[in-house]
Amino acid sequence: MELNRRGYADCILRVDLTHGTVEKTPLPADAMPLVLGGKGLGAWLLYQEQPAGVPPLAPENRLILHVGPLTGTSAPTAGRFGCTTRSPATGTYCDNYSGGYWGAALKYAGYDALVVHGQAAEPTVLVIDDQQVALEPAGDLWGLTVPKAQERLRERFGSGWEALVIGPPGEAGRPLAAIFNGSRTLARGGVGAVMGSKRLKAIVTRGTGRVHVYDPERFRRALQLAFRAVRMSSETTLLRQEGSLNILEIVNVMGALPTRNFREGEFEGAAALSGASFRRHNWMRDYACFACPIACGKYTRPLEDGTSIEGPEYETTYAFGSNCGIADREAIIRLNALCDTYGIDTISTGVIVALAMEMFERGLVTAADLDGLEPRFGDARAALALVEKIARGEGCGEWLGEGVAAIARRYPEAAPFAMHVKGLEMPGYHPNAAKGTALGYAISERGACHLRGATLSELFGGAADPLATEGKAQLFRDTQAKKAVWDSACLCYFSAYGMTLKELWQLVVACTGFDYPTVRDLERVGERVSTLARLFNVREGFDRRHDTLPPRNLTEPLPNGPAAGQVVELAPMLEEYYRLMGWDMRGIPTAERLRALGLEWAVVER
Amino acid sequence: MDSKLYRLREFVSPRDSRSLVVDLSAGLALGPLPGFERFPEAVAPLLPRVDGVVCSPGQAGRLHGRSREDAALLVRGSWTNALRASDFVLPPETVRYIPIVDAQGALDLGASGLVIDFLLGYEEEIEGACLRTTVQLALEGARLALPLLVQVRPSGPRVALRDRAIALGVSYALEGGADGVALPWPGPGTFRDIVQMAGDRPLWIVPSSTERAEAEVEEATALGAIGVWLDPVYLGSQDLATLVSRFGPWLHGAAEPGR
Amino acid sequence: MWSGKQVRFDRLFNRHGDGRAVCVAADHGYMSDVTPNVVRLRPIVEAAIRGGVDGILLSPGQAMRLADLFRGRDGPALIIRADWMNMPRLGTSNVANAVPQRLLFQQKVVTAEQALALGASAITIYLFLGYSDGVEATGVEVCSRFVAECRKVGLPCIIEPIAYGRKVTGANIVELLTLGARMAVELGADALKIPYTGDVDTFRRLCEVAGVPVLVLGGARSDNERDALELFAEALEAGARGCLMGRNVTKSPDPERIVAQLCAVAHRGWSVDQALRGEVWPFVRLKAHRARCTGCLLCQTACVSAHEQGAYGLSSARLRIEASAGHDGHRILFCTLCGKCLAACPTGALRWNPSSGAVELLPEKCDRCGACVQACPTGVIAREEEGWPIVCDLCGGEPACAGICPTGALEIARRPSPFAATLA
Repeated sequence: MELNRRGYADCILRVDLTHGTVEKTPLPADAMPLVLGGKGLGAWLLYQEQPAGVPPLAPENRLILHVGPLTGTSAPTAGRFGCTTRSPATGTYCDNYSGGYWGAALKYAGYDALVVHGQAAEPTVLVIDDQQVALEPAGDLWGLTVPKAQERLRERFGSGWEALVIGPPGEAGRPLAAIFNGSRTLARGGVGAVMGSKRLKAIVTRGTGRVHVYDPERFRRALQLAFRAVRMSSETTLLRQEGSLNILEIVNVMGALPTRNFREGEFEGAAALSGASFRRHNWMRDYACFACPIACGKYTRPLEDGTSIEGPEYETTYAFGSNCGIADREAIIRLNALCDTYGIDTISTGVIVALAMEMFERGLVTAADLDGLEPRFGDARAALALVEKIARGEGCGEWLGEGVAAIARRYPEAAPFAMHVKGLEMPGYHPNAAKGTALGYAISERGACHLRGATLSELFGGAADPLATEGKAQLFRDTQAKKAVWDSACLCYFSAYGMTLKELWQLVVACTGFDYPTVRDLERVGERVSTLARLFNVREGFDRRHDTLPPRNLTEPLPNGPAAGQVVELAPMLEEYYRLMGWDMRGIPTAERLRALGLEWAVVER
Repeated sequence: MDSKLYRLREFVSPRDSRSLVVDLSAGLALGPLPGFERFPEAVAPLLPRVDGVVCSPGQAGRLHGRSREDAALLVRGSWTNALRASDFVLPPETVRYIPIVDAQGALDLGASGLVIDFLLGYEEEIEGACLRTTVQLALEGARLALPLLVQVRPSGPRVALRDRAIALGVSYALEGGADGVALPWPGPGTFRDIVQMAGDRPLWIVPSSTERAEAEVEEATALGAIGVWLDPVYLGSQDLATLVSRFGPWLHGAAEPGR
Repeated sequence: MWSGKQVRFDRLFNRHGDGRAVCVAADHGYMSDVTPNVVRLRPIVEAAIRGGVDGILLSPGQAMRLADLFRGRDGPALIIRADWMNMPRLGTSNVANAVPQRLLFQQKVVTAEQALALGASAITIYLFLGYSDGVEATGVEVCSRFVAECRKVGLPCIIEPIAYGRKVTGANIVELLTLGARMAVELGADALKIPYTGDVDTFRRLCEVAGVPVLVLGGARSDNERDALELFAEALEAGARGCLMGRNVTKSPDPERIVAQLCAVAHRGWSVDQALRGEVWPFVRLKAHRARCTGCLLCQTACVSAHEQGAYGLSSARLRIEASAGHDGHRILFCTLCGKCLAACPTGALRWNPSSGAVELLPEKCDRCGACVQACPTGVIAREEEGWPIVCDLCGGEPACAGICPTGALEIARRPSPFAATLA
C-alpha cells in the first residue's frame, strides 16, 4: 500500500535524546486503516512501544507528536496536530490537540509522527528542516518564558519556521506545564513537563513538501461539501463572531456554568464574560489556524500596560471567571496572559485558584499558609498573585501547582470539593446540570475532559434533556466515537459544528482510499481508538474505581438555577456504557470485544 | 346480506371464499423496503395476482387506475414502531401505537377494508390503545359498512406463551368487533380453538418466514383459515413475488402449493 | 385528487408551467426568538415577492397581517405553518434564549379548514425523528390528522421530516431523512419540505423513494451566497421540484436578489455562476480585502492543488500571505495583472492568455532569465527548480484561491477585456 499517495508522509521520525540519534521508519501500514492517524496512531504507538509502568517523567516515556492523513490538505481545519504520552498529572494515557501552523509544517516536512524519548545531557532544541534533522544546544533558551523563547527562536531561524516551546514550569517538570505553538497550546495533563524532563526546550520545524491524496477529483468534491457544511451552520458563524465564548451565556442559563468552585451552576456576572461583551470591549481581530474557515481565535486590544493575548477561550474564562467568582474581563485577560507567558494550563490553574479560595473561605488554610494572601471568591488581585506564585513555583505556588488532587491529599478535608477526575482538573460544564457530560468526565481516558466524548449537545444542541440520564450512555458512546475519529483524522472539533461524520467520511475515503464502505465503518475506527486508549490505562492499573466524580457532583445537590437539586446518578450510566462498549463491570474491555474490533493482539489474560 | 359483507367479498373470493392478501404498508414505520423504493411501479405487477393489497393511507391515495381484475384496496389504519428491529436505524426504546386513519377516511380513499394492528406483550397502555381502537373503528365501520381487519402481532417482550398469546389476541380482536383477523401460525391445537372462536369471521395466516410459509399455510387452510397474508417484512422482498405466484393459484383451487 | 386540491397544488408548483416552485419560509417568528428577520418581516416578504417568489410560508397570524401582499393574479401562493414546535429555543444555535426550553415539544395549532379560510394553497407540518419515540409518535399523530383534514377540504399537505436529537449521528442522518421522507409519504403527504442530505446521490434516492414533489430547505445562512444556490442547483439535479428557503433569504441583506437568483436557477435553468453574477464574465481578476484575511493559508493550498493534481502544500503557490502574528493584519500578495512582467520580459515569452486574460508563459520563448521575477511588484512569481517562472493563470478564469477563501478576503471581480484597446 503506497501510503504516501493516501494523504500520509509514510514516515515516523524517531529521536533518541539520550544518544542523540535520529531514525526514520515507515508507518505501520496494516494498522493505518484500523486507526487512521492522529490520536489513533498515537494510541497505537504508545500502547505497543512503551512498556507498562514507565514513570511519566522518566526518559523512557514517549512524547509522540502526530498528525493525520488530512493534515496539510485543504480540508477545513486540517492544520491540527496532537501529542500522546503518559501524563505526569494523572499517570494515565494523555492526548492533547492544538491548531496553529506547526502540524502542517511537520507534514510538509515529511512526517506523520515524531516520537521523542530519552533525555538529553543538556538543554536542546530539535530542528526539523524538511528531511534534515538536527539537535542543537539550547542553553541560551533554558529558563526563558514562552514569548521570550519564541522571540529568540525567530531571531535564530528567521521566518518560515514553526516552533513548539515550553516555559520554565515545563523545564521544572510541573504537572501544569503546557507546550506552546504560537498562541495555541497542548495544554492539559502536564505534557510540557514531559518535554522538559527530556531537556527539550523547543522543536522548530520547516516543511516545503506536498501531501498527496488518493482520489484527487473525489477529494476536491468532498472538500466542497465539507466547506459548505461548515459555512451553512449557525454555530460556526457564532464561533467566528464570539469565539468559543459564544456558549458562555447559554451554559449559564442551563445552570451548568461552574461557579465558585462548582458550588453553583449560575454566575451573576456571566453577561460581562460573554463573547458578545469581549467582542464589544476587548477583541480587535480574528485569528485562524491553518486551513480554518471558522477563525474562532480573537486578539485582544492591548491593555494600558500593553498586555495582549489571543483569547480568552471559553474554558479559560470559566476557570478564572465564574469558577473564581471573577466577572472582570481585564482580570481574565491578565490571568490568561500570565499563564501563556509561563506556559501553563489555564483550566487546571483556574480550578486550583478556585479551590484555594474555597479552602481559605472555609478556614482550611490561612493567610500564613498562602504567603500572606487572603484569596476570596471574586478577588482578582489575589488570583493574579496566586497564579504568579503557581507559575513560578514559589512559596505556596509550589504545592498549589501540583494540582487539586495533590492539594486534597495534603488537606484531606478539601477532598469533597477538589474538582478533578483521575487527577485532572475539571473543565467548564457542571456535571450536575449535564448528566451525559458527567459520564464523559468520569470515563475520559485523560481525566476530567469535555473533549473525549462528553455529550455537550445536551447543553447547546438541545439533543436531549440535560438532566435526564436515560439514553446518555448511548449518546456518550456515539459522541466519543465521533470525537475519536475527528482526532484521528486530526481535524479541529469545531469543524464538527458544521460537518457531520458523513462529510468527514467523504473526505477520509477520498484522501486515503481506505475501504470504509459506510460511515459506520469509519465510526468503528473511533471506538477502536478509544478502546486502545482505555487499554493503556487498564495496563497502568486504572479501572472502574477511577471512573468517578468528586463527591460534590455525586452527593451535593446544586443549590440554585435550572438544575437546582440535581446530583449525578453515575453508576447506572456507567454500567450501561460498559455494556454498550462490551467491557466487563470492572470497566475492562472483554477479549471478545477486542477481537471484534480487530485488536486480538491486545487480548491478555487477566 | 349487508353492504359490509359486500365489501368483504371484494377481497375474499365469493366463488371459493379464499383470499390472498399482500401487506405493503410497512413503509409507514420502516421507510423504503428493498424492492419497494418506487412504490407504484413495484405494486403494479402484484395487483392482478392477489385479492387484496394493504396500503398506507398515503400510498392508497396514489394507487390510481386499478381495474376490475386488480386487487381490492385495504388501508392500514394504525402506526407502530414495534416492527423496528434493534439494528434498524431508529431502534425503538419504547413502543408506540397510533391510529392514523378512521373508517370514513379509509372509505374516502376507496378502501374495501381497514386494517389495524393488535400488539401483545408491550406496556399495558399499548394493549389498551389497541382494544379501544378496535372497538371504535369496528363501530364506525359498522355504521359505514367498512370491514375492519385486525392483525395480531404477539411480538412484545412480555409474551410468555406465544400460541396462547395469539389466541388471546384473536379473542380480543373479535370481542372488539373485528370482521376478520390475520394472525401468525399458532400451531394446530390453538388454531382449532381460534377457528371455533372465529365462527364465520375469516382468518388469514401470516407466514413467519419464506421457509416455513408452505407448511404453515397448508396446515392452517386445512383447519379452516380462508387465506394467506404475505408481508415482505417477514419474507424478504424477492420472495414475495414467488410466494404470490405459488399461493395465488393454489388457494383458488388451480394448483398445489409449491408443486 | 380533488379538483380543489389540484388547483391549489398548481398554484404553488405551476406558476411557471415547469412544475417547480421557489418558496421562502418566513415563519421563524412563530418558533424562534425575536431575531431581526422576525422584526422586519413585511419588507422581507415584499422583497421576496419582488424577486419573483412562488410561495411564502407564514404563521397564521402573519398570513392575516400580510394578506394584502398575496392579492392579484401574480401574487405568490400562501403556505401556512399549521403546527408549532420549540426546537430553535432548545439552544440549537448556541444562543442564549430568552426562555430556554429543555424538552422538544410539537403542537397542532390550526385545522386545515382554518388554513384554507386564510387563503392557503398548502400547509406544512413537522415530523421529528431521532429525538424520542414519544415525539415521533406525536408527529405521526399530528401528521395523520392534518392529512385527513386536508383530504376533506382539498388542501395540499406538505410534511417536513426533521432528523434531530440524541439518536441522530453523522452515520445515520441520511438514512433517517430518507426514512422520514418515506414515512411522510406513507402517511399521506402531498409534497415534502426536507433538508438537503449533503450530496446529489443520496438526495436523488430520497426523492425517488418519496415519489412526491420535494422542496429542499436551506438550513442556516451561509455568508457565502454561492452556498444556497449551489445546494439548490444540486437538489434540482437530484430531482427536487423546488425549495423552501428560510434564513438564507430572510437573513440576507438583499432577499430580493437571492430569490431572483434562485428563480433563475429553477425556472430559467441558469448555472450558479450566471445566476450569481447576472451575466457571464468573460474576464476576471482577483480583488483583495486585507482586513478580512485571517491568515489561514487555504488560498495557498488551493492554488497548489489547482496546479498539481491531488497535491497540497504551500511552497510555490502563485500567491502568498505574509502572516503576521502581530496585530496589524496579514498582507495578501497576488497577481494584480499589472503587466510589468510582460514589459520586463526580453524574449516576449509572457503574454495575456487570449481566453482567460491571465499572464501566460510561452516556454519555447523563455530563456529563464528571471527578469519577470525581478519585475513583479508583489513578488509572487516563483521559479521552478529548473528556473522556469511560475505565473498566476487565474486557474483559467475561476481562481481556486478566491473560491476557497472563507472570509471573502480574496474575491473574483469582473475585469474589462484586456484586449479592448487592441480591438479598438
